[in-house]
Amino acid sequence: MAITDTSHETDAEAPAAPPPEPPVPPASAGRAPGAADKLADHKLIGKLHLALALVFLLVGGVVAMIMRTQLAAPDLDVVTNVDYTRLLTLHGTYSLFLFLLPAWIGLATVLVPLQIGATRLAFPRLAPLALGLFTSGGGMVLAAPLVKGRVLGTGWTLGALVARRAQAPGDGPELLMLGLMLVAGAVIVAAINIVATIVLLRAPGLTLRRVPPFSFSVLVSCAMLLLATPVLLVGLGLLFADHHYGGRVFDAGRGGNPLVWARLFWFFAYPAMWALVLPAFGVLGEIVPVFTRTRLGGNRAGHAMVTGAMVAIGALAFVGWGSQLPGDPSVPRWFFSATSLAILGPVAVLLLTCLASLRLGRPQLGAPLLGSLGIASVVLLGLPGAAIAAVAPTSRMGNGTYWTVAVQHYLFFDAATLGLLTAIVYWAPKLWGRRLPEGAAALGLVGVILGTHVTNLSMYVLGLQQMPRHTPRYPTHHSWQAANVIATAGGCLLGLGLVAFVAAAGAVIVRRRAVAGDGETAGGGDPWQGHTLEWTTASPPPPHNFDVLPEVRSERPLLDLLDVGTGG
Amino acid sequence: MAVATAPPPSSPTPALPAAPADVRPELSRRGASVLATAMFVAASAMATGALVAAALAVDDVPGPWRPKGVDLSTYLPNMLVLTAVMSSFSAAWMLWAVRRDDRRTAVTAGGLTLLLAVAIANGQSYLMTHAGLKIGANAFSTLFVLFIGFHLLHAIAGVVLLGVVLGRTIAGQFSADEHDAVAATTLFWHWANLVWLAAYGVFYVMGK
Repeated sequence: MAITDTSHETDAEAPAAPPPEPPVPPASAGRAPGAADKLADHKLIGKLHLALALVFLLVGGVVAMIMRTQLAAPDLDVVTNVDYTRLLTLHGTYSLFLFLLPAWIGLATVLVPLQIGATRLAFPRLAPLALGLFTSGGGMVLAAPLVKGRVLGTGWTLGALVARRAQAPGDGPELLMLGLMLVAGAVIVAAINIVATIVLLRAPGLTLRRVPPFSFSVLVSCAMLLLATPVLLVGLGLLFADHHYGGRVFDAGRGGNPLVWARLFWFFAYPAMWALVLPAFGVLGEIVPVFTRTRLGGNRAGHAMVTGAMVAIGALAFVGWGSQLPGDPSVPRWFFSATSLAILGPVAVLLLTCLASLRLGRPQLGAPLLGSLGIASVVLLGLPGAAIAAVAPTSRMGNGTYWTVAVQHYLFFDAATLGLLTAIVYWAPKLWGRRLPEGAAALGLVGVILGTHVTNLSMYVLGLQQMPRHTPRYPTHHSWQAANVIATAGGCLLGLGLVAFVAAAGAVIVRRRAVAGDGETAGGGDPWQGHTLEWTTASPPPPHNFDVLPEVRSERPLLDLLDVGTGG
Repeated sequence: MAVATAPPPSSPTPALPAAPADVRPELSRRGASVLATAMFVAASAMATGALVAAALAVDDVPGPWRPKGVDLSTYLPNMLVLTAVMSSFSAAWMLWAVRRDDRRTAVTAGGLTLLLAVAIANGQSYLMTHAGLKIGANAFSTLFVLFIGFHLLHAIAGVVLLGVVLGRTIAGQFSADEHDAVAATTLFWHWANLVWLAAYGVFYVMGK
């Protein structure tokens, strides 16, 4: 059957579809699902990814709170200087590799087939493989600080393992490297699966240009990860050979070059950071139009602008990595300053297009829109900081001070985390068949948004005061104290918001409050009047996802139906 | 319906006009294996690029790229280049024959490709263990062993894939309309040969 034939575009004025055919019963109808069926169910595997990410969010959150407590007042001795740098390494590693990566991949695994009208992933068995790799790799990373040869730290770039190989012997660092290799393998496997699903299994009429913003952002994001992660894998392989076998690749005294690791790492990490924030932009592009009852940017061109901006971000991210290496003499600084500045252009276009919907539509407040506004505010405050850091990378507002920490948190980690929470609020009916309690979800989101701003604005101030990043303590008389106290308070607020959010989600899963009390039927379970295909099926979706699909004539097929229904 | 403060619907969603009957998607897997292989090749290309970049960065430091005392014979590597080129041609021949439903020629070409692939894997493992270079001696040696090992992994995977494809060709499982696995394996094998050419360039051309 020609479901993948999407070679020709049809527009809203296209002739009507042929008369509806009776639904074909699902292949698994009439028999109870076995273990193999369950493992092939993308929704279950995706939710398991999310559960794994939640565990690491909690662990990483505790680590972050210990670090913030250490800096709450001058000369505190909550942890030693060495332990502080170790925690720094673990905080970054957990946040990127074990929380954001599996969380977005999990959410995409659940939602992408639903959004594009597919019954399954392109390679259903690869999804459990990715989960297994994430779990085993995450376990090894988690165990690394506990075994002999403890992990040294100068942050999540793992540079200490290169610079101080002799001082970091033992199994801990190697366990960390091997664990990260498995995680990198999981990312590659999952990216191949998701890209293949979007390319091959779209519903008829759903051309690439009509793929919903979230799925499109996932497509670009996975393509970026697919190209960037192998570079990390090679870097880790060289690092492991260097550490375990004395490989000398980073040893300047034996013909090596110590800068190799930093270059390989940032060639991966810079695109990866953008790849993790892109789905948050996709969430923004999904929710704002739904809650303003309009199209992206108020017209049909808005969708093209947003997806075009995503592609531009994806391309530019691969030529901006050198901006993170201002100390590398062979890196052309002007070029990377220009590219890291240029990438902010499509981000601004994307953001403004989404925000234009607010002005042109009829906004109706709800927790998902609140979260979306939070994402927009976080990115808006991160953009100028990133622009200044790009123009003057060696100034007090460049690399080396808390200014960079604020930019990285604002623009990447916090925007991505907030995007993830907002996505969970919006798509909770598809995940668990029921909505999160509006009040509790909104309270959690407000806590996270306010905490993010308080913490990061304080870190901007610390950057202006030239507090070096990675500083484990400071003297009593120093001017850094006030901003550090406020940043710690912001961190507490953020933590409380996260706890409230997780509690709300947990309560819903346990209490099983249904979306509709009269039992779910196909087409029910759409509390938001969504615009995309996932809202045409029940909440939670049946194992085969869809009983029937509407004809797709634009990027927002259900909005088309509403327009027809209201004569709009 | 537990809606709390959700945006009230301006009007109920009209009943969904169904799409054509083939929406009920037991979707075709045609093209899936070729696409997945292409994506794997893209990922592998980035890894190869990273290895080449690491070699260039090491070459960038003062001093010779190939340390004194390291003498690499070029006879076997040259033979392997020749074998790789021949095997790429024979793989393309196999695909051409399958597309023409010419099973006999496809089996001949597939068998020849498999033979050449085994020779390449064997030659690479010999090169890796007998070139006199070990991880840890210096940066050149480490990169040599890792790069050759990287290609050896591709070669072994290629041997397995070519073996499976040959078996399925003999069993008559491919036709002019249905030969995705052959196309995917051929694509992979071309790439595996290119990895070797990249390694050859880095260690035997640049290292002169």
